Amino acid sequence: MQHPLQIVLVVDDHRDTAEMIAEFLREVGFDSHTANTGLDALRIYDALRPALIITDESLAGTIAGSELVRVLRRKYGPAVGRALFLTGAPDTVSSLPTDVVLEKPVDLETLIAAVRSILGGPPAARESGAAASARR
Amino acid sequence: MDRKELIAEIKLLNRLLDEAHNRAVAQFALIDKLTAASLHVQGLLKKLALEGSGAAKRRRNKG
Repeated sequence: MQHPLQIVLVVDDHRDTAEMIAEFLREVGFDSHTANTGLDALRIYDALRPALIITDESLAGTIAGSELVRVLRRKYGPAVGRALFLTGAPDTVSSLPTDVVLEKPVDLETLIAAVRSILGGPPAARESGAAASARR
Repeated sequence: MDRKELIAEIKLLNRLLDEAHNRAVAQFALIDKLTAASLHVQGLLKKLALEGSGAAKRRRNKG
């Protein structure tokens, strides 16, 4: 039986960055979606309930990445799980000890390894399948 | 420190804070651009590597 893909929400006000990260995650077997503001992210989280949120700390608009995650945890509790923050200033992020903070500009392999270690997969075999289908 | 000096000091501090804020915003914008560019390059390198391994496989199969 095939397991459903794990959903990842990528939040970055820099549209290209969000899209590229989402695309890389799709290639390695995740079902990734993007949001460009905190408010968009709240709406999308509500609809999709992703297993992981990857967010930029400094988002355009009224809500920062860490604030977004705090709001979600208040609303949905532990179901929100760990978050992965991307930021140019890692010291300024106020996250839980279990969250992961990566410094921008981020290395793709490091990012994917961090996502895999948080979500525990998907298996490497799926990556070669995704890579093969991307080549077609 | 009299009232006049205090006001001057506060104005100076406000100006410094504004300047620091503007610099931080500019720096974050730069880091965002750098991140996008770096991801783009990493994506291209990945594609190149995939195409390279595909071409090598085709050459092996021909030979």
